[in-house]
Parts: sequence; structure tokens; C-alpha cells
Amino acid sequence: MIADVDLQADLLEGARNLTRYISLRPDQHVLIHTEPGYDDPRIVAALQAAIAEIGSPCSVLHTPAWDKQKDPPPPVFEAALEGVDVLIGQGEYLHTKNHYIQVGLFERGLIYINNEAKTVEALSSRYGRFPAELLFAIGTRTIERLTAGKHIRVTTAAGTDVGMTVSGNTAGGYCYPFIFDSPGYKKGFPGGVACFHPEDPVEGVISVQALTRGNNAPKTILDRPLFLTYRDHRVVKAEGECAEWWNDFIARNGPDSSWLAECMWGIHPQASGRGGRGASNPHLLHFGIGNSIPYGGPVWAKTWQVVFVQDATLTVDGEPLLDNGHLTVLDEPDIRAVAARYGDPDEWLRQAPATLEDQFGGIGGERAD
Amino acid sequence: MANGLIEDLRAALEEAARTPRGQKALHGHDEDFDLEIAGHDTVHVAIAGGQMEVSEGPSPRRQPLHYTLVQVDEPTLRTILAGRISPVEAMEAGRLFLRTRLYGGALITILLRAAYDLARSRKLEVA
Repeated sequence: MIADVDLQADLLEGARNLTRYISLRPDQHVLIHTEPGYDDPRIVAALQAAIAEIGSPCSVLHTPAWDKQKDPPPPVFEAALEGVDVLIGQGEYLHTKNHYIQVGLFERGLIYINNEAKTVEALSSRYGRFPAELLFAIGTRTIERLTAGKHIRVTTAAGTDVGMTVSGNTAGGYCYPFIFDSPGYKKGFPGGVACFHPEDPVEGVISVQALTRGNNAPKTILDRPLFLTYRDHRVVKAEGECAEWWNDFIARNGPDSSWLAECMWGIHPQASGRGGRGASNPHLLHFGIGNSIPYGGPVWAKTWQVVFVQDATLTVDGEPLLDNGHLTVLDEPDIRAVAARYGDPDEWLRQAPATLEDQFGGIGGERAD
Repeated sequence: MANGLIEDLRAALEEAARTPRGQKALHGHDEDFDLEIAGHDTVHVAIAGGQMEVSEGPSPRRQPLHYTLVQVDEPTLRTILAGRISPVEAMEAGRLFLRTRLYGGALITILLRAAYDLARSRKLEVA
């Protein structure tokens, strides 16, 4: 939610908030990466000021843009990554499946923070200033409730009804203290998503209401749902809008390209698409389909496709964690008590509206992990 | 383990842990790793408080957000420890799996990378 803000004070507070999410230390070298169109000097200055308050050495690298999925990065960027501990991506989202990023994360311990609050307004707002303590409290409680059970069911008014199970080791997201994964991780700031790799049996129907364009999908927001019927973790039938595209996509890439690899939903009540990330709002849930390896799964596929549903109900052993797009954790007295440390809990915890149009209209809005 | 795999793994990881890269991993977060090595018993690598312990058998803890299951076969593990394939190359080839949370589990691959580098350095010295 973008409210009226004191740009100078609130922008700096948003930048300080980013350093708190990382638990940035003075001995960590930081690189801020910018690109044409993603290089607002006010944000860069605020980040530099916040990092200077910690005492961490900080450099800024502005590169030409490149196709993050198809082209190699500029050599100077790849070389610069070898000299830093923390990368703050103010530019376009980096495709983390690329070899150079994988080496950075999993072999050198690079910390890659994709700043999802990419505009001055977003970084200054309650979205960007959302207290780390509060977001992590919401996130860890969400994980606790998720992993306390076994049987997961996701339903929507549009016709989704799919069941799966959860294994505690794959439950995660951008919602718990970032230091739990340090060093060697990538997260979005302020993030605010929880996820898991669906375990067998995965059966049912996903009524897709929107999808990313990564695999030449003909459109993003659908007028009529695309119904994907799952049996034994893979799609056995596609009906509705874009079904022809889906069938061709699977015919070209094989049945493992329909493997249900990720179930992810928002936990950040102030997230929206206006300069931020709509997918971090509990009103939106998405499934990642295809290569499950980065998500803790056992099946590799050469493709990755994300499909969205709106206002889902997600139950854990029959108890709603999401109730028609409302994160029930937000109602818990313990969470409200944490929010009260930062002012009126209703102001922090009231869910902003978020629609598929928000997700696909935001800056970098078509990206989802 | 009959063929000394756990002893070789322990020695390699302990040496790797003494490198700057290994120290960076050990002084990160606390995590329990179970290494499921095809054809062998599970090996538990515990990292806590800047210390590492390698032991036979599964981890007694499987706490969400602090636990990773690693799946690999012996030839792949030995190839990494010999400096012939890096952990990320093994992951990309579908020979090393981290069954864990999104972007979790890097401590073990950082340590394995340090072991891989040490093995390559030894080869250069011999040459």
C-alpha cells in the first residue's frame, strides 16, 4: 500500500530496513547494481547512507541492461560479484538458475538481495518500511503452522481444488530471519512469501487465472480459467483458455515440465504491485511448474512456468492458513502484539487489496520464483 | 562404512573447514545436514556455533528452516572431493540434490567447494 510518506525520512528508513533484514555487518562488502530504468539516484543514495551507518564498504555498479535468461552478464558485473559478500539488486531481477549466480550463492556464499521495493514510493511506504521483526514473526508462524501438519489442500472460487502433502525440510520462502540461510542465499526485500515443494500425492485441479509469459504463453491474465488436472504430480489434462498452448508446451518439453514444483503465497499484508511485488500479498497464490531442483524437489525439467490463482483457501490438515485470500496468522494475538510495538497493529496488519492486475502491472511484475 | 567413505569425507570436510571459504560457512547459521549416499548409511554433518561434526547415522534433529537432506551417490561425492567436478556442476548435472527450502543448504556446498579447490591445488603441486 503506497500511502503519503515523508520521502526523505521514510525513504532512509526503508533503506535502513533493508540492512536490518540482512543483518548487515561492517565486515561485509556490498555492491549495489543498477541498470537503465532501474537507477533512481534517490534510492541509491538512501541505500548508500543506510549502509554507511552500518560501516560496510559499499560500491555502486551501473551496467547496460541484458537479457537475464538468454544472455551472459557483462563481464565486469560477473567479476565484481567475486569481490563482494552482498549484492543488492536494484536492477532487473537476475535469473538465479544461471551458472554464475549458482556458483556465487552455493560455492562462494554470496548473499543476493533483490530489492523488490524498487521505487521511491514503495521503499518509503509501509511496504518497504515493514518491520523485519514483524515480517519474520508472521513468516515463522506461517512455517510453524504449515509444518505442524501434513495434508495440504488449495481451493478457489474459480475452481481450483488440489491436494498435496508437505515435508518440513522444504518449507521456506522470504519470510523468516535471513540470517537463517547465511551465507549463500538469494532473497527478495522485503519479500514476504512462504512456500514449499508439494510432496506426493499431488492430485486435483488448478484453475489458472493468470500465468507468466516466460514460455511464450499467449497472454498473462486469462478471461476464462485454464484448468490443469493433476494426477501423480503431473498434468494429465488441460482445458479452457490457453489449453492449446499448454498442450503444445508439454509436447515440446516433456511431461516433467508439468511437475508441480512449488506452492507459494504472500504473507506481507502491505504488498501490492505498485512499485512492489503483488505476489507477496496473501490475496495471491502461485504454483511453480517444472524444474523442482531449486525448490527441494527430486525432478529436473528444462522449463519453469508460474501460474497464479486469486484469493485461495489453503488448509493444513483441514485448518485454514489462508482463508479466501486472508492470511489467518495476521489475526493471532501474538502477531498483533509484535505489530503493536511499531504503532497501531491494524495499520500494519490490515491486508491491502491485491489483484492479478497488480502482480502483472508492477515493476518487474511478471517475475515470480 | 566399509570402504572408508565417511573417513575420507570427514577428513576432506575438516580440511575444507579450515580454509577462509570453509570458515565463512562455519560461521554462518546453524544447520543439520543428512547426506544420503546411495548404497551407504546416512552421514550427519552438524554445523553449530562455528563448529562442524561429521558422524554416522541420521541427524537427531530435523527442525524446519535448519535442516537439509543431501542426496548424492558415492562416485559423484568422490569426484567432487577429488577436484574433478564442482558442487554446482554436480547439481546442474542432476548428480547432487539439496532437498531443502528455497535457496537453503548452501553451507554444505560451500564446504564441498573448498574441498574441491584443495584437491585441485594438490594436483597442481604434483604436476
